[in-house]
Amino acid sequence: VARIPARVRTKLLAGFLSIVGLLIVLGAVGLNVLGGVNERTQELITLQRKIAAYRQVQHDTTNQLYGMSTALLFTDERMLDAALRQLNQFGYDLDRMAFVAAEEKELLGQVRADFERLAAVVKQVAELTRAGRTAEAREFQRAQSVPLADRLERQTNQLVNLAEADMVAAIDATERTYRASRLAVLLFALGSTLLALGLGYIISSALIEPVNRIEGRLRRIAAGDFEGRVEVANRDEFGALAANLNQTSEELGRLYREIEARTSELSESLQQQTATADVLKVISRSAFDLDTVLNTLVRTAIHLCDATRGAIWLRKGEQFPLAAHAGVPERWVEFAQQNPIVPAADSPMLAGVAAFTGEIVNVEDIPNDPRFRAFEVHKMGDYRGGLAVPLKREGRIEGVIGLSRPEARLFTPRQCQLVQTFADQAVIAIENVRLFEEVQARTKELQESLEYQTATSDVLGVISRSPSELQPVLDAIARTARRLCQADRVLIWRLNEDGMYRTAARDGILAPEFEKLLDPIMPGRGSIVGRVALDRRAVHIDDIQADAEYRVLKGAANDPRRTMLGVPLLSDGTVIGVIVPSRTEARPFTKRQIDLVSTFADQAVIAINNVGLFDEVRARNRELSEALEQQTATSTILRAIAASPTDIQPVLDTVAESAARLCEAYDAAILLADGDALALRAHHGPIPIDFIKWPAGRDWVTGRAFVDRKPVHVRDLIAVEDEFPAGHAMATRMGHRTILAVPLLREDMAIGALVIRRTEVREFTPKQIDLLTTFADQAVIAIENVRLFEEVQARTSELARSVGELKALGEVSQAVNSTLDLKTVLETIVAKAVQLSETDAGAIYVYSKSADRFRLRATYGMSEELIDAIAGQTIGLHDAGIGEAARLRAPVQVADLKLESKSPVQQIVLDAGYRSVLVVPLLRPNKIVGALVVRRKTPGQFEDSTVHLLETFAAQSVLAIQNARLFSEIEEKGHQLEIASRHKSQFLANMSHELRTPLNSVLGFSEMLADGLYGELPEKAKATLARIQANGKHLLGLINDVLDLAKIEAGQLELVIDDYSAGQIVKSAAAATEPLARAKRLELKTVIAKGLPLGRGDERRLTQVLLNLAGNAVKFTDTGSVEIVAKARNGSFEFTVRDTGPGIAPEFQARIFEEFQQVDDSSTRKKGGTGLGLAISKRIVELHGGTIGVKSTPGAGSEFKVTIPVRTVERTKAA
Amino acid sequence: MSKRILMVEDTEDNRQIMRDLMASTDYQLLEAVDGAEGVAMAAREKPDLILMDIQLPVMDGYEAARRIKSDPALRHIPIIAVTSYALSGDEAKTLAAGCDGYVAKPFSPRLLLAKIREFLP
Repeated sequence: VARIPARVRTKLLAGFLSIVGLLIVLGAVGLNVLGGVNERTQELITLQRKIAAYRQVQHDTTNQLYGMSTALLFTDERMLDAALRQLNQFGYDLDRMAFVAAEEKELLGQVRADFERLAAVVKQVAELTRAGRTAEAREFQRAQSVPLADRLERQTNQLVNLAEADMVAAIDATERTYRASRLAVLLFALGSTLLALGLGYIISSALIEPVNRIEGRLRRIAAGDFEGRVEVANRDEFGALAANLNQTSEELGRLYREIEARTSELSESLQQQTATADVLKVISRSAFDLDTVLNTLVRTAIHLCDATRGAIWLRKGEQFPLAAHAGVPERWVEFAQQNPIVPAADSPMLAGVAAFTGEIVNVEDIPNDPRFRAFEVHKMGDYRGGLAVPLKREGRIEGVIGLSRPEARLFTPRQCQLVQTFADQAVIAIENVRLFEEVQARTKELQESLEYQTATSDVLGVISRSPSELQPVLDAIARTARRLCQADRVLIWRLNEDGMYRTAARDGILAPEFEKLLDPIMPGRGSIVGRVALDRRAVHIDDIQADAEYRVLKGAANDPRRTMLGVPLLSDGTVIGVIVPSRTEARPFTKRQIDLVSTFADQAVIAINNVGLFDEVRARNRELSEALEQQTATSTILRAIAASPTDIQPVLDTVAESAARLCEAYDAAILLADGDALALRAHHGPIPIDFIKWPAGRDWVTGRAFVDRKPVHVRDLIAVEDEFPAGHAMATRMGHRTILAVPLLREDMAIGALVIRRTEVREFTPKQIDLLTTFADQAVIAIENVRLFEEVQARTSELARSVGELKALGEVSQAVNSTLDLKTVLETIVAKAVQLSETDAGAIYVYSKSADRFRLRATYGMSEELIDAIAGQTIGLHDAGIGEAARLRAPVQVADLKLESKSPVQQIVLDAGYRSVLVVPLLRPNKIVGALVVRRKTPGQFEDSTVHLLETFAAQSVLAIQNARLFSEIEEKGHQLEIASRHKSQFLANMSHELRTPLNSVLGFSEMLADGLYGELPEKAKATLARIQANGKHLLGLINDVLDLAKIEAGQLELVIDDYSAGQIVKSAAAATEPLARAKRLELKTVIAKGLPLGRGDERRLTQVLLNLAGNAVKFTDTGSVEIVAKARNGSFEFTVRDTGPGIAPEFQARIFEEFQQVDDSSTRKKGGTGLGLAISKRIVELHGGTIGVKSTPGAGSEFKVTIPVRTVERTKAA
Repeated sequence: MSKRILMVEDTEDNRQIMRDLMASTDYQLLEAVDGAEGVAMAAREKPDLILMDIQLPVMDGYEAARRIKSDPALRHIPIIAVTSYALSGDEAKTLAAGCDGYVAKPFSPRLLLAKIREFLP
């Protein structure tokens, strides 16, 4: 949206304000004029009213005065009245007169005076008249009234005239004023119009003109004129706008010209593209019709390139015969067809050159061109300019397009390009055709394959559908093979057990009577089946009539077969069958068809094997289901056993039922030993058993099985009277024939028998015999179970009793273990002892050997008085009761204190209401510890079980007392140890201080001496000083190590556990040893594995370890290298320090980690060191929960390996 | 003006080492032989640095350091503990008593000087 420029807005505002101002002025003037006119109008209205009044007066006065006079003359009453009324009327008119001629006051006064006089006269006259004094009246009238009336008339007229004159003057004045006003209004109207016109012009010149100009310019631009300029004098936005417009106009002009140029270009290429598209359309429509494509290309090329003739040559081998042409005369065509283009640089034909060079050949005038004019062919004379463009595909020249025209003119680059495009199109078209043909061939092939595959999968489908039956498969194969091999008949032969081949399936019949003659066939060269069986591979006979070896039915008049194929069904190298397609005409089967039949053969083999497998599986299945059934039965029995562990009967019933069912017997029974007889315990089935018990003996089947302890199976009991006399009798009575009995054996002892019977003669299978044995075993298990169960129950009730005791003992043990407070433990023991022994009170005494006194230590159920009383007694070893038990080292009891109270204590107890007492001594192998006492308020012997129980408690008490003693001893020892340890640390601190103080002087002074603080020293002194320093430092190291070790030994070495970097430790150790290594020219290597985890441990101490190892390695190695390796494995760091030093003899390797041990004293002396470093290192590593070790071969270096957990478990104090 | 160092040390040998050592430097050495004297001298002389032995007669170095550090007027003076208490934990103890640095005996005069220069450059 265009914004009105600010300055234009200002101008518009000014113009608007001017017009408003003008209007205000005009309004004011108009109002003024209107006021004047109003005033005048008022005046005019007054004047008119005056005129009206004047006319009335003029009229009235005359009449009235005349009427009055007349009336008075007639003296008639009525007339008089009228005259008087008229007189009155005149009076009113007088008022009007005053209005008309207000300014003639004098005259008016005279009139009024006259009137009054007249009125008085008239009245008098009237009265006189009425009084009948007519004469008088008349006289009076004549003398007085008439002259008065006349005078009045005169005066009135005078007044009227005066008024008239006034009026005329007033009207004149009004008219003048009006005229003046009108002039003024007119003038203003005129003036303002002029002003408005003036302003309008100014505004239009300032605003409208530029707009108009610009608009006009725009209109011209719209009309396509970009040349003119618009000139606007204004310096304001209009000027800028105009300038912009001019610029835009120029730009537009430029763009327009450009667009015009582009448009013409576009339309040209559009034309070409349209043509190209047309060509493409043709190509795509007739993609596989090359001629059409080529013809279209030639024609279009001619049309688009201003040519008249055109041709296309396509490669065929090394030459390029003519493939398409247009516009060429017949004789040229003949020539071209007879002379294919041969590519050559000096070919007479442009196309030949193009085909040779692969470049475009563009010639302006062929007949006159130096290259071509010599050739006869160009003398036909109907073309001049020529163009040849090669068709290239992947760099190979596939053909040439040639164009020519009758004018001598070069083809433009654009045309060349176009033809090039066409050439490309032609190549594509050629390629398309080639591909199309290929695809078609391929499609045909695929279709065939598909058909074969479908057939194969059909056959497979049949195989999978009928896994158990072979015939449908063979039928399907025969059918499919016939169809796909285009055979007249297919036979499938199978090898029979007699080694002969017989027809198993067929499709297609050649001749009914002929078919019968074939079966069976033996291997041999005389038949195709026989030949396949011999060769074990496919055999193809092109024509059996031409095959010399072929014998079967050869020459038979009705053998219609000619071509035959035999493909073997091979299974494990045996020809188990043959597929034979045959034709009644001599036409060989193709390779594909043979392959197909081979596939079918494979499938047939699979099907045959499948059927075999299927049968096998079916047999296995049957076995399995049998086994399953038996297992189910077994589990049923086991369930019955589990369900009734106490009752044997349900189990026996189940066993009998299952045995009958699974062994296919009608009837089963279980008999168990009962003394010397077998008693019937379970029976299932319809065959009666007419005894409850029968003596066990070999004269009946079940009896024999029981006695011989092995199964007895009789096929027909009726037939063996001699062998089983009793059994035979039973069979006769009960009606069974076949019988099987197995013994129930428990640990080789027969406890009964399981018997099954049949009413017909039918042997039981071995499997059934086995099964029955299993059932017998299960019956035994059930019986055994019940026995065990009963035993367990008896034991359980026994156990339940001891559990209570055990629990109490458990509680006591817990008390003993959970608290070392002896009193608590003893009180627990005595309480439990009293509760469990079902006594009323108890006490524990502890014996003090030195005082020979048993002291009361814990009581239960005793009153305070009793406790006080007993505590007051001295009980010694020689006293009765407690002392006696301790002395005898055996329990002592008093069944009734009333009958035998042996000691004062017992007397006290008796007095407290107790009757019986049991004392159990607390003993250790060679020591009396005390006694446990329980008391009852009833007399009587204590049961043995109670005594045993109390003995157990006594043992617990001994333990508790002992524990408590041990504990207090340990506590005491611990306390002493602590003090000792404190002394030791103090000693260490003192030692440290005392040793360091003198050393400080030694080292301090010697360093300052060496530093030359006391002046330069002689060389010899320097050497001595160096020794002092070295020894001082060694001494310091020794002190440090000894203190470290002492601390470790005292368990005072505390690890400062924190996160550390294993790599950093290695680096620190390496950095510290590096100077010495360098001095000794040793190579110091560090290998730190990547991605080591963050460790946790005492970084300073671990560095000390590694530094010690690295320092040793450098110290003892004279040549070679020292290597420090850090890696992580299995949650541990492995630090390895390897050197090429002298190595360590095996006998030293174990000892070097002990204090003050070095490999040998001489080396130590030579190399220095305290011999404590490794010992300290070992301790530090062990504090970290790690290990340190060495591997070394003397002369081949050493390898120290430190393994420490990545994260050391925090332990505040080393143990 | 040269910086003044107060040495609190009961062993004459060590004092001699310090005297000899200081003779080669611009520092001026003040000496006290026990902790109490050390505290008194520190208050009187207001040295720029104190070298404090720990094992001292009358009042030990820990106590002396604590007293100096509890005096607002002396608190700013750095104290280096120079001690033969060189067992683990001893350094922490001296720092806890208010010392600003720690040098174990036997010390290397060269290193002690370096330590002093850390505080008095």
